[in-house]
Amino acid sequence: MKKPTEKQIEAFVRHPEQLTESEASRIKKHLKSDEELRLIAEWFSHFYEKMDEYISNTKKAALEKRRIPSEIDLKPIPNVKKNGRRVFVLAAQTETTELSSGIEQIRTFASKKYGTLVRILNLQSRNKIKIDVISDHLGEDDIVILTIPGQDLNLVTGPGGRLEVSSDELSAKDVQTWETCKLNLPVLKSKVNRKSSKRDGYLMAQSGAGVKSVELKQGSDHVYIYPDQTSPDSEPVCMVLAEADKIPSLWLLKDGRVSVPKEKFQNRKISLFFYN
Amino acid sequence: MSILFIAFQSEINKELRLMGIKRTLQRCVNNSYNRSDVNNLISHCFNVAITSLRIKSGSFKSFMIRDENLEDLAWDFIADLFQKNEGGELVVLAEYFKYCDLELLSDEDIQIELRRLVCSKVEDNIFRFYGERDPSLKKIIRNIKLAVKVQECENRVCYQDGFLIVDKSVQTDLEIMPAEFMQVRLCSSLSENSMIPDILIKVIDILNDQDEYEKRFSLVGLARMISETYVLIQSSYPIKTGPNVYSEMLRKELDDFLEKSVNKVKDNIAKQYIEKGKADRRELDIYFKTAKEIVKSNFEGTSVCRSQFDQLKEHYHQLEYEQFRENHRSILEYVVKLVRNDMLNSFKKDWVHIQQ
Repeated sequence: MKKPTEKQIEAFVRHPEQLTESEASRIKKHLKSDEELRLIAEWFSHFYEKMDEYISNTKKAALEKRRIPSEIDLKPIPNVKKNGRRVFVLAAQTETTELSSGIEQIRTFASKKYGTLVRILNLQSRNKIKIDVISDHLGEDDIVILTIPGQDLNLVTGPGGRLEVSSDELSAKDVQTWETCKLNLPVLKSKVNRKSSKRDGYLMAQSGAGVKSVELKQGSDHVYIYPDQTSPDSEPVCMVLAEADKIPSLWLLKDGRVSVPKEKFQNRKISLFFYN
Repeated sequence: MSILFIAFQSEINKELRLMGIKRTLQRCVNNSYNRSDVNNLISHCFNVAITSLRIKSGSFKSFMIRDENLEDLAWDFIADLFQKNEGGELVVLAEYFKYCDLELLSDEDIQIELRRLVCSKVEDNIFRFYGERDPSLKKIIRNIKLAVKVQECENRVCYQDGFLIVDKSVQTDLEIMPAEFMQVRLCSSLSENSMIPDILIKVIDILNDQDEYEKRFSLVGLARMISETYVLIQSSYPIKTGPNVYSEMLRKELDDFLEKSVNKVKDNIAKQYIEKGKADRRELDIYFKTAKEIVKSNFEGTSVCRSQFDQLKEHYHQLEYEQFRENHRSILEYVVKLVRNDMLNSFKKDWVHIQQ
């Protein structure tokens, strides 16, 4: 009796319903008597078991991900005033001016539901406004967009949701007028290296629900970015932020793609963040 | 949700995933694809590649890729498959399926074809990846190249373009044997003291004894396999060192154990072999004598450069390799295996007895 080929063994393991009864029983007989073939069958079985497990876990993660919005609305929380009494250390009393840190908390916004907090500080000594985003859903390198409804203001943070702006551009007074704020978290993240930035291809993009593909096409003076909008579990994307050398630029999606001028793109390491 | 329902759901998911993979691949290969087709195919290939890498990194074998970001690696490894030319044609995929009539295949067949393609791509890229990272691999590669030139291999194998080729005249469109399968076959007949020329001879025999894959194998692939196997063997048989007096005592004990095992195995199988006409008494004596020498040299770590063929030739001076392969190898290997196992068992029992 002729030994079954590896292809036949694979079909026997993965799609036994495709084989005729006699084919299946022939393979079974061989597997019973031939240790080497049995090892191969075991390998296939293990492989497909692991593959199904991976796909099922990714699907579960996708379902989990759906519970987390890509936009989080935050409500203001009142500033907690400290008790006016000061502690005096008798032997080493410091001058009042030195005690003052020069940091004033202007506003704090929070969303209990999504474990997210935005704190805006006034760094008086440095003449700067500091914004910190703290969220369970924010990655170390994530860049988020902070939108202030009614103010026509969008602020793009640096990696990790941190931002410092000069008080000349954004004053503490302005911040005090903010009633709510909205946070846009990236739904997809990708990296373009020097090599891939110069040619057509598919980039790997990470989302909370696993891996997606992003197509990159070189035009004559633009690079076109096509996020995967075709899979049933893909998140809709409206804008893409490209960050190179710590300088972000935001681009809107039109006709399923984003067009970025080539000079902003070529020969550089770029991080891409996709928002809806 | 009941277990039965989960199992049923998993079957449904499997079917859903498969549905349309044939049409998707056909459109990709015929350059009539849309963005969704490529995304689906990438996703399918990625799942295969990441599974393959996860298995490797989770096993004891591929200790080198354990700390890598496997998703990045999987993506990089399949990237070649989706190369396009200026006309947007997916050239690598089209080339691979050029001779394959996709219309005749089912979705299930296509899944298997894609699994084979992606796994071989992953293997190729791991070889490259290892070569860049592991300096000890270079030594093994050099030793394999030297082994190609040793007398026993000289006319049976050659090295060309990164491959060990056992039959140059055969030009086929067959695939290269997957590394896992070569490993299954190779490791089942290796011992902890096998040297590179012995291993190369085994590889030559494995390639010659099959017609399903090409009669060649990647040199770096083999080197990686040897490197992994060495790690496995070292961990299963830790090398013990001790004063010389112990090793002298041990050698005497070893001789006693070996003698007993040879006699025991001989008593068990000799009659059967003679009755079935597989060997006569004289031949059996020679097999057992050779097996005893082989096992002894294996355990003592001496004469490790010599293959089983060499050792049998001591008793059959006119023996040609072809004759050995056809008439003697399987019996000798079996006898060696039985004697070795029996001796190990006796050792174990004796050791347990002393401990108690």
